[in-house]
Amino acid sequence: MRWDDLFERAAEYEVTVADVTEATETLRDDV
Amino acid sequence: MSDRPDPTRVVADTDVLAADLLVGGAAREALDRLRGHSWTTLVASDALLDDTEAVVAALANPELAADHREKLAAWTERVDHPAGDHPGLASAYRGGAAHLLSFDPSLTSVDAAAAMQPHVSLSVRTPDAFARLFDPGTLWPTVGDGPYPGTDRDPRA
Repeated sequence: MRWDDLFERAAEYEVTVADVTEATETLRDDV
Repeated sequence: MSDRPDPTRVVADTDVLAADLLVGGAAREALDRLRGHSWTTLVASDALLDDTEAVVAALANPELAADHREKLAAWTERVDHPAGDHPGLASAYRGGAAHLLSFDPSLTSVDAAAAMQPHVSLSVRTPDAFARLFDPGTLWPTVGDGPYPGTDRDPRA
């Protein structure tokens, strides 16, 4: 599995840096 | 861990690892610097990979998250740390890394750096700052002989 293959599969999701930071913060706040 | 962090050893926190996959941009540019140089080491704990898999599963899907984790597990050097520690900070501390990449302002701020500095010699940077400042050519003489040869592996393999 190449990184390029993973990036291609991920490209269908419209995710922003704000989404990622919020999800990370939520995950860690829940611990 | 060693007393002096190794500038070729880097930790990317969960937000950066997930952004590398799902967003691209600065996170991917920063991690491409490491993927392209076999003499750099990305360090991560199982807890850091657990968090990353959970975030990717939540924002995309579990299958992609599992495949991404498998790829990261093959790339990273694993370190252990006590349960409950911040996975990014603890991976950097335990793994002797000189750099932690994060989007979290509570880690990257000047105040955070001032609070950490007496305890750990760790540079916490956003991915765009790291991509600007991390210079493989400057580090090369500490790991190899002769002129800097450039990237030595395909960053997208």
